[in-house]
Parts: sequence; C-alpha cells; structure tokens
Amino acid sequence: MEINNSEFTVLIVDDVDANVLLLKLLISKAGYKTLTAFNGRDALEIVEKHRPDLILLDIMMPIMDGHEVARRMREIPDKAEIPIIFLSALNSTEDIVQGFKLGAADYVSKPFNKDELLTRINHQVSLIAAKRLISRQTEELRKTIIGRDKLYSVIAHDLRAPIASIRMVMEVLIAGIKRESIDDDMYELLIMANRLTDDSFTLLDNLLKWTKSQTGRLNTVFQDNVDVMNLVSGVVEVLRAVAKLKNITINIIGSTERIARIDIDMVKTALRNLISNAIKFSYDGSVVEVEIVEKPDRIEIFVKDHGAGISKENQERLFKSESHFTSFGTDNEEGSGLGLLLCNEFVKRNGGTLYFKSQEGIGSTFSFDIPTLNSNNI
Amino acid sequence: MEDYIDVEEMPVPDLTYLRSVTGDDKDAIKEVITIFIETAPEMLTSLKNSALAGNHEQLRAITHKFIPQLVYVGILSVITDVKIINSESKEMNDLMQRVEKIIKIVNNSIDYLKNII
Repeated sequence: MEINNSEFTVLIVDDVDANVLLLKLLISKAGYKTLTAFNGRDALEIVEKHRPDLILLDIMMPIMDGHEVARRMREIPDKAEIPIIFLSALNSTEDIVQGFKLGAADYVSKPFNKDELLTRINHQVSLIAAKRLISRQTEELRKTIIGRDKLYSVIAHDLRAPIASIRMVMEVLIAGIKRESIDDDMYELLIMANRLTDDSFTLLDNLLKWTKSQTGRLNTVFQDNVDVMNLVSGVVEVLRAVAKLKNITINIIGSTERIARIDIDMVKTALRNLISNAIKFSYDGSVVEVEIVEKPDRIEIFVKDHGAGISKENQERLFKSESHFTSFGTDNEEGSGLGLLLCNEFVKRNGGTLYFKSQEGIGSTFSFDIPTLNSNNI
Repeated sequence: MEDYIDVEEMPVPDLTYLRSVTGDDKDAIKEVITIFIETAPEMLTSLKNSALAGNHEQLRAITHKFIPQLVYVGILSVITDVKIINSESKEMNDLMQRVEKIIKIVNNSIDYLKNII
C-alpha cells in the first residue's frame, strides 16, 4: 500500500519549545503536515477543530497533563480513535502502563532517537491508512451487498406472483384437459411447460427466502405448535402432482402424532426442497420414500430416492454457499443450488440437523430431525 | 568527592545529537541552542530554590523537563546527576552539592554555546 505522508497530519503536544521545534522539524522533513500545542487544553481544542491523524503527546505538562488529554479524547466519539504516541523523558513503568491503559498506540522516550521515532510514526500512519482502506472497502462491499440483495428481492418478489398465477393456470389446464383431445406432442409440451413453471416458482420462492435469510430479515423464527404428520402429508400431497409428471410415486412410510414447536413455513420449505430434489434426480417410474421415524424428543424425516445419486466429489460441494453447486436432474431439470442451502439453514434455525448419504448410481437419502414436544409441554 | 568533576576540566557541549536530529540544519541548531540559553537560567534557579526548600515534587518536575534539553545541547556530563535528583532527591545527602555542580557545568556550557551561535 503506497502512503503519501503529506496526506497525514501529526499534532505535536509538548510544553518545552525545544522539543516542539525538533519534533516539528523532524516530522515535517519526513513529509507529514504538523500542528503544535504547548499544553493539553490547547491540544484538545486543536483536535476538535482540525482532527489530526496522529498525536505525539507529552505526559508531564502544565494546565492539563498528557494522560488527562488522552482520557478526555477517548470520550469524544469521533476523536476517540485517533492514535496517540506518548512522549516522556523518563521511562517510568507507571507512566507507560497508565498511557497504554488510556489507549496509547505507542510510547517513545525523550530525548528521542530520530530513526526510532520516525519508524514508530510511519508504523502508526501505515496502520491508519490500512484501517481507512478497510473501512472504504467495507462500505463499498456493504453497498454492493445491499444492491445485490435488493435486486434479488425485487426479482423474487415481482416475478413470484405472476409465475404463481401461471402455475395455477397450467395445473388447471392439465387437470381439465382430456388426454386424447390433443396431440401427443402438444400434451408433452403442456407437461413440460407445467414442470418448468413449477421449477421457476420454486426457484423464486427459494431465492426470496434465501435473500431474506441472508439480509437478516428472517432472523425471528415464528414458532408454533405444528402437527408433524399433517405437515409432511401436506407437502407430499402438493408434490405428488409434480412427481406424476415423471411417473414417480411418493410413499409415506411411518406416522406420528407428535407436535413440534417450529416455524411451519421454514420446515415446509426444507421438506419441499428435499422431495423436489428427490423427484429431480429420480428416474421415470421410480419411487420416492418419505419416512417418519420417532426418536425420544425428536422426529426424523427421511427423503429417499433411487435415482442418480451424488458423486463423492460433488458431495463435498453440496453445502458450500460460495460455490452455488447445482446439477441437472435425470430429465435435464435445472436447479439454482439454493435449495439445499436453504434446507440446511432452515433446519438449523428450528433446532435440527440435516444429514445425507448418497451413492452414485444407487440414490440418495436426505434426512433432518426436529425437536418435538412431550405431552406436558403442549 | 571523586564523583565530582573539576569544572575547570569539564567537557564542552557535544552537538552530535542535535546535528543528527536536525540533519545539520544550522538555523534549527541555532534556534534550539537559543531556546536553551534563554530558558536554562530560569530552570537552574528553580532547581536550586526547590532543593533549598526541599520541594521534591518540584525537583522531580524540573529535572524531568531538563533531561531532554541537556541532551539536545550536548551537556551530557550532568545527565546522571539530574536523573539521580529526579528519582532519589528525598534520600540524597548531597543534594545541594549535586545541584551546585549542575549549575556550574550548565552555566559554563551556556557561555560556550553563546560563543558558537
């Protein structure tokens, strides 16, 4: 990082003229701008008016000593961060310790060694410059993230409603149409359009939720007492229509009467994503199993497919948000790479853990657990 | 009294430090020496008065300020005495002797410094 010394101002505070003169000469020669004060009170006034970048502060001064100046400066919000190098003629441990307690950045003895003093000043200035650079970059990054999240949010929000309407129309069309009344090609097109619409809706829904979760707008988990069996049945029922397009059957194995205190929307989203993935990676005509297993104080929900499975290499990339890993389904269905990330996040937020096992060519099983209430808590 | 220097044989001020810090800037050297010549007599008077009055706090403050200035103008032979007064004035039996020695050497150095600026 290149530093231009002339962009930095050093305030020299000392009540001895000769000290100020020499320090000013030395620091000016190094290219810094200088300000001078001969007592603590004047120093505080200069700090208020000119906000120097660094202060060389003598400790023993009349009117107000260096320690008091530092103490008062730390109470001024926008001046508290200005680094102070204390100067003192005596290497009194007490003075040095007190200086550091008051937030001194460094300490130099008088009479100072020219090279040592300049090295310490340069070091502080390079820290200031680095801090400012980080600050600027953080602000730029913050703005970029806000812009990105806003864009995601607008896209997801504004597209979600029309896609939902199209999806509904498509479902009504397919449900109402007589198979033999149209050509096979036309029927295939309708099925494809319906699937694509459904995928698009899921993607937008995930995108919206992901954006909310990443921007901190989904911090509060709205917990309610939820009938787990109803939740699972509801999600499976909705997805059976989608599965049917690939001639896939979804079977529910096991049952429960347990109640879980969870955010129903989050857990539904997690389960829906897992079942959607299972359908996506299953072959035409196969079976997806959704199994409910009761454990003490928890319920485990397994979603098992007998499809393409995931290679070892890809398994390691599944939950890395920075890589947005995605792959095509058995019918070339596209994904966004968001679904599993959302599942993981939502399951965690509801006190559970997401697990998976997969073997390429055999299939995958994703499962998660959620805590359930015992009858005393209901 | 073997610790004490015969003032007739005391060393002349050594301006090496000042030349180094100022980068041999003649004006700056002159200015620092002038400041010393103007302020040192008052400091010496305060040093003596504080010693006579047994005002150790004041002695500590004066010597604290004096040390760097003595280094700047190269009056190095009294630094040890000034430091001892700074830290041990309460326990010293020879306080006044040390103060007198400092005064003599510094006054002698001032005369020398006056001649070179």
